Amino acid sequence: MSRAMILEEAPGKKVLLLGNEAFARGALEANVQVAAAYPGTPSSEILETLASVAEAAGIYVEWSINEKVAFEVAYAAALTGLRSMCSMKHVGINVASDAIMVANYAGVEGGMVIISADDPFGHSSQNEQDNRIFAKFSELPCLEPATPQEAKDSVIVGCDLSEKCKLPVIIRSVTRLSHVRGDVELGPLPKEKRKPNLKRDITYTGFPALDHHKLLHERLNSILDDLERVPFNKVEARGGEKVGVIASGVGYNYVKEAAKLLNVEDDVGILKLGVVHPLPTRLISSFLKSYEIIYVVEEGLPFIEEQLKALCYDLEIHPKIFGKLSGQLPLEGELNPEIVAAGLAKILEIDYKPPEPIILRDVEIPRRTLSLCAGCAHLATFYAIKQAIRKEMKGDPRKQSIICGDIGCYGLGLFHPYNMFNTHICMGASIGCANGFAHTGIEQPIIAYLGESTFFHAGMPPLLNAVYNGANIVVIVQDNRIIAMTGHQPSPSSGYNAVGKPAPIILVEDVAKAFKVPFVRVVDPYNVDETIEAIREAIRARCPAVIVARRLCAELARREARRRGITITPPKVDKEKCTGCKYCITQLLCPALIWNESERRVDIDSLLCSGCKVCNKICPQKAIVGGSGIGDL
Amino acid sequence: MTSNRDRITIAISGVGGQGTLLASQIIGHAAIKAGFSVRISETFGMSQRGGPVVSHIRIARGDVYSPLIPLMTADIVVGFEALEALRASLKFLRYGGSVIVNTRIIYPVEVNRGDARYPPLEKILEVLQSIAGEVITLDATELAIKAGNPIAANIVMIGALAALEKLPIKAEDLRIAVMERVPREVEVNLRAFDLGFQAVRKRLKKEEK
Ligand code: SF4
Ligand code: SF4
Repeated sequence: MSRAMILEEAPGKKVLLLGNEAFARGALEANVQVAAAYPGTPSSEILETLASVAEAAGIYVEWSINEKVAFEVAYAAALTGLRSMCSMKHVGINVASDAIMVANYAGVEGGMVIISADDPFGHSSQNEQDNRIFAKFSELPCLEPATPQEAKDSVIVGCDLSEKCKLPVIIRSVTRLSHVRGDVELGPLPKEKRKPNLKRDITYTGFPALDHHKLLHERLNSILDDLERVPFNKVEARGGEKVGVIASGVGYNYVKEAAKLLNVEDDVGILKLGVVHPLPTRLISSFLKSYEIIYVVEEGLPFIEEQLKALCYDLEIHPKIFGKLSGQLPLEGELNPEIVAAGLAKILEIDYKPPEPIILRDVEIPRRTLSLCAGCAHLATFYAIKQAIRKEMKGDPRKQSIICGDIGCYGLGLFHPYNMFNTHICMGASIGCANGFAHTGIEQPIIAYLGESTFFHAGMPPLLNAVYNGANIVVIVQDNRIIAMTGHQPSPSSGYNAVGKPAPIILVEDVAKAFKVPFVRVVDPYNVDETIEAIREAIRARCPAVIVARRLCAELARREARRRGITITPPKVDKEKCTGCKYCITQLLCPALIWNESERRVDIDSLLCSGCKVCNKICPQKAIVGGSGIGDL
Repeated sequence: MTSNRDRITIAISGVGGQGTLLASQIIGHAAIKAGFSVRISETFGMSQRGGPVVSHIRIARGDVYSPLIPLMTADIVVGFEALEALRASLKFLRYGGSVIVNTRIIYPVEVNRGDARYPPLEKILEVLQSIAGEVITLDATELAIKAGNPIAANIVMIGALAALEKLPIKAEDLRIAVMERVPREVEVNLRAFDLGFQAVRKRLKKEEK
């Protein structure tokens, strides 16, 4: 995306924007002046885009340390009458929820939107949570845009609504909106910035709770009419038909596609909902009354479907309602045109079978599983952990230890062929779970493994807890100086901030020492023997221990090597010495190591190899020699 | 001789890190400038790289709805890697559609470890021939190296796609879109585009004879 486009003052011009870029553009058009977020797929590009133009646009943008802080930063700005935004992936809302659940009582002055990017199917997440439920739970208004165009416009509509009712407004995105590109017509950018104005006679707190809860309800009720008229709600009825479809957000796109696939575009009425909490009941009621059969298409849980049933009870009408509860649509996973079409076909009693992908009989198509990058320091550290446990405990590391994983690129460590982790829950839970295992009396070493950004996000409290309560655990923090998994956003150890300005470098070992962790060691994971030794010592120390394994993310290191003029030359495999034992391939699992079946030895992929030279160090025959690259940084 | 279809669906498949995303953005950018509506969606796995990627591109006059390509409806599959060209074609290509394949192979880790075998390239092409109306092969990586940077293989593939003349967008407009969307290394990229374009032109001319 060209950043200039995001700032373009060209109302009416159509440009290609990613849904998340459209949210960012919408924030600029809405005059949002403070934006904060913690990166997480599929939400990251929203703040990334704003950060890239922050200076030019004269707005404040930050990567906060976690989602709760991001919410609080944006919330406070909204209390001063400025417009603000915080964005996060769906599970980020769980982190922020402590604050949101009271801020809803206290309300805002300037318009504030919270963007929750949900991930149906869990493409890059550990669950599929549907945050429309959170909107109901927190009793905040919730919009659900369907296209990049609506994504942009929803921020403006959301800010206006928020200002009117003085509550934060939630915008629910999903993967197929946040990560879809489409044509977006630009609107005008505001000419003037607002000045902060804190009304000192008001105390912003949810307390006394009862009064404020009541206030929340009054505020929500004050915009019920407006919610009916939000332009993302749209009735496409063709009168007198049997079947009416109610679809929200991205589900609407699939309904239109399905109607085309089945050739029934003129046979069904469609109510598209862009407001999902509180539901625009007047609009829905009149639609419900016009059809005998209702098909509800929504991404996530049967959120609307359940409420429709209650609404029908009140209206004393009995249309047949089909959707997720009736089994026409699955309760798990992501929707697509075929799934929605199959459901509609069943209801219309049309013969339809989704086309089946061709299955080949005589050709076996190998899978292509994801792997960590060639040269990734996580690979070296994984290797060191296994070796340390093997040497200390004399046996299979999987049986001789408990390794608690965390959220990041290294989450792949959960799967074959790495099989590194026993637990993998949420940010910071590696150390949290390790705390618990430590007090069960389990004899094996208990290791928590996480990245530095995850450590700063949610790993510090459980580390302090381990010291205070004396949990005998080894915490290994892989400091790759960047938030790699979500696309390389800066972390507190990177030395710069969201807008690229220099920032103090915050080191994990300094935090650990301040927390009075009795054993703190910093190692270079490419220095394999040193790392193995440090982990062995930490296991033997039988006290809370922290090892910081520091190496720049290999992706960035390749760029850095190019900048410094270090060429990447893969090491050579000495044909005479290599015995074909496959130790390097099966133990290090670097994707650049290729098994050469015909010669029964190992080759190195010259395009993939980063030149970290870890394989040189681990080959028992010393058959891998030479090379240059990121290992020389 | 641009065909005047007003609705076209393209799947670009490859391996994470090959630049499928940038390629689809260039096509989408050119399409919007030509007055079309566009939806582009990427399907890929959890981490940054190494897994299969499919970019779904749908271009139409008037509205486009689903961001995902309905099964077996793609007019063209552009495969940045042979195995991924096959994988995507089996799922998305409509019968009689076109396939462009970069013959440079990237082995999956499964194959690297010796746990699976990569099917012979001839076999892959044979299957593709049997389901597609036309299959065009080129070594885009080689051509990109000739142009000055192996990374530009994705631009070579756009040149190849332009030469196919199946898009409702002029080749020259795609070329301009490359310049506008990738302001770095413009010369290398234009050379890459032209090499891909010429490779396919030559191939098609030979067939016409
Ligand atoms: S992006 Fe960086 S941290 Fe993530 S797998 Fe690649 S090298 Fe490792
Ligand atoms: S390079 Fe070394 S470790 Fe790898 S297969 Fe050959 S001898 Fe074994």
